[in-house]
Amino acid sequence: MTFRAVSDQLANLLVKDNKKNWPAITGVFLLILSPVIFLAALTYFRTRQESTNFALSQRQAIAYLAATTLKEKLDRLTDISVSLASRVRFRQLVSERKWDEAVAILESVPKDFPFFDRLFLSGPDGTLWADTPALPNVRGKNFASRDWYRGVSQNWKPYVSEVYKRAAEPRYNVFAVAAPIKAEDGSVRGILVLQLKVDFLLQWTKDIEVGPNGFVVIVDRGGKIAAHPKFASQGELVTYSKIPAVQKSPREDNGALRLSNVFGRKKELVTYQSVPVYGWGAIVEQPVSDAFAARDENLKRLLTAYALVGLISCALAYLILRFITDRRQAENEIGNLNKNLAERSLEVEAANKELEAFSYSVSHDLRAPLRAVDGFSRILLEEHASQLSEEAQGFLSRVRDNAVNMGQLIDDLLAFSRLSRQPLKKQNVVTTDLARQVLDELKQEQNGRRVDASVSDLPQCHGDPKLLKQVFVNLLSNAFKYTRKREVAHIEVGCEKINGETVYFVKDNGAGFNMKYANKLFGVFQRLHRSEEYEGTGVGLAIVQRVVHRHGGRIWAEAVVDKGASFYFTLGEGNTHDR
Amino acid sequence: MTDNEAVEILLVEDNPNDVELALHALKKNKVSNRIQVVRDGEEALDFIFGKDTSSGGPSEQRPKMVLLDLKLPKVDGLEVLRRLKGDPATRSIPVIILTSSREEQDIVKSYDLGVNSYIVKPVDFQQFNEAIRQLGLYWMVVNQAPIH
Repeated sequence: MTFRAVSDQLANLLVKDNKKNWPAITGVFLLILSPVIFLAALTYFRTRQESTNFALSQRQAIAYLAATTLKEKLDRLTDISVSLASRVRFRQLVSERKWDEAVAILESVPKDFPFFDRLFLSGPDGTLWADTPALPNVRGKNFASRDWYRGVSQNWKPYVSEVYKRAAEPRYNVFAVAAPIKAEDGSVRGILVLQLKVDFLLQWTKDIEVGPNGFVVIVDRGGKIAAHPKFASQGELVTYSKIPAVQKSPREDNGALRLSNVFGRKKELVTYQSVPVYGWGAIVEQPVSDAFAARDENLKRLLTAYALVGLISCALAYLILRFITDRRQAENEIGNLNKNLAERSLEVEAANKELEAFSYSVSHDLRAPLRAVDGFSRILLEEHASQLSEEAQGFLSRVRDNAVNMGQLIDDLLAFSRLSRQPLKKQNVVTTDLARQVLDELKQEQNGRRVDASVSDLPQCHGDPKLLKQVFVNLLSNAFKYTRKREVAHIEVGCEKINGETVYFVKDNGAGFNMKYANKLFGVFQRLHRSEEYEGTGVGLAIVQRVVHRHGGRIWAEAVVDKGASFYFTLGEGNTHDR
Repeated sequence: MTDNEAVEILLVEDNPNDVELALHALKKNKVSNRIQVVRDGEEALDFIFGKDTSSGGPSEQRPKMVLLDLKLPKVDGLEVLRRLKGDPATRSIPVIILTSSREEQDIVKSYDLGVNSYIVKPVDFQQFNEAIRQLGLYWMVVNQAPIH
């Protein structure tokens, strides 16, 4: 189907009874827009998904980094504890239960490493026997209930404990790395416990760049917070274990969640990564609005672009529909006009036919009685003259004259009516030749009169030569007729330019007329002279005017009584060819 | 008019005034005395083609000339002309249209159908008289008709 056919079909749908079909228009409007909307929605959600995934994977990478770093640190601590616990002299002292001497060897360790809180030695049963820096009232206490003890005593392997509160004041939060101290034969003789401040964890997590309002949280295997920038390390132990991320972290390697901050109302984006071996977790938290700020910014731009595209599409769709419906309405309008026109021209045709029939009857029937009047009067005059008085013969002559006169009237009237009905047969007319031909023909009828007539060069024109000839015949006949009483008749045919328009004229020095009656000049049967003086029926100028009007021109006259008359006419724009 | 005097002119005319004037002119100009007048197209066709004629004349008359009005009751002049010129037997009879109509369409149609002359009846009887005289002179005297 061509575009034209589609547009036609559409127009049929959109315009019913030459009125806009709004439901259909709305439907088509939406139909045009739907691919745009569909594509926009599709790309929007794709972009959103991708940006989201990007933001999530970025934060997961941070969590992974944090978890890896944490594991390295815990590995190192474990290594330190193992290497300390396996010193030969130290082991020997512990085996001999010389606790004070043993701890003395390690005395420098907490001083060298600022994040070491304390270091202490316990027996295999968990009873503390020596510590540095030393605290009062702890020696001889049993700490078997501590997590570090349970952890290390399980398989007698080094163990990183959960976070707990220090037994002695100030009770800040610590965790412990416990390593078994074994004799040569492999039997466990004691436990070396390195107690570390959680600050140590906090320090390096703070340096991890998460983005605005973001931070890293470290939780131990029990879900208690080991490091959190917003909680003081000496504060209460906070358990995150109820939080899904924390619950999941030991079971799943990593993940991402969106959840409401326990402490605030803000939605948080949480990604987590479990720390292998130790069961701790690294959690990256950031308010959702900040985490997705870049994404949201991009999406906002995308939406703005889509809004623009949408607007343009709407405008286009509107214009297309408007174009189609308006054109259809205009077409319908034209169709109606054409129909009216066709009806009108049928009417005109009918009227013309009627008029033709009428004038045919007039032509035929109206003259028949006149013929009889004239004919029988004539026979009376010619064949029965002897029986008629001279006066009677005169009366009969008058009867005949009038009959002939009326016949002329009828003929002229018919000629005039025929003129209105005849179609114009326009062609190029050499106006000069036409006027000269008419003038020559008329001149021959003027027996013995002295006539000074001239035709100057006239521009050619586009018109019906037969009708234009009638114009010159009538105007020049009048000129000859009304100059009859002049010794020398002056008749001039010419043209002049008035306001850029070519105006033809026929001038004479005849009887002229009173300009007061100029408006009656071109009426049918209107005469400004008595018929005894100048014969005529008063149809000639009416015919001239009709022809000029039918060519789209104008006609007017100027005259002075007893000085002459000038008739001017134009033939309408484009009908005169200037040389 | 007697049987052995063959009709020379058939005048087809419905208007009695025009009939009388035409007869007057024809007689005065001594064109012919053997004139048959019929008053409508049907009578004209019956006269020529020998149907049951109201004129009582013999069937299949072949006049030397037909003067034919156009506007006639029953069958109009153009139809009569068409029939006359359409039949090989009557095609050579000169037909002169004698009418009041100056309408161009009538003139064109008549010539299309093969009319021999087309004369517009003038109101002036003198002109009419002259036209009839010349007509009779030409078609009845000068013109050489084909021998049947």
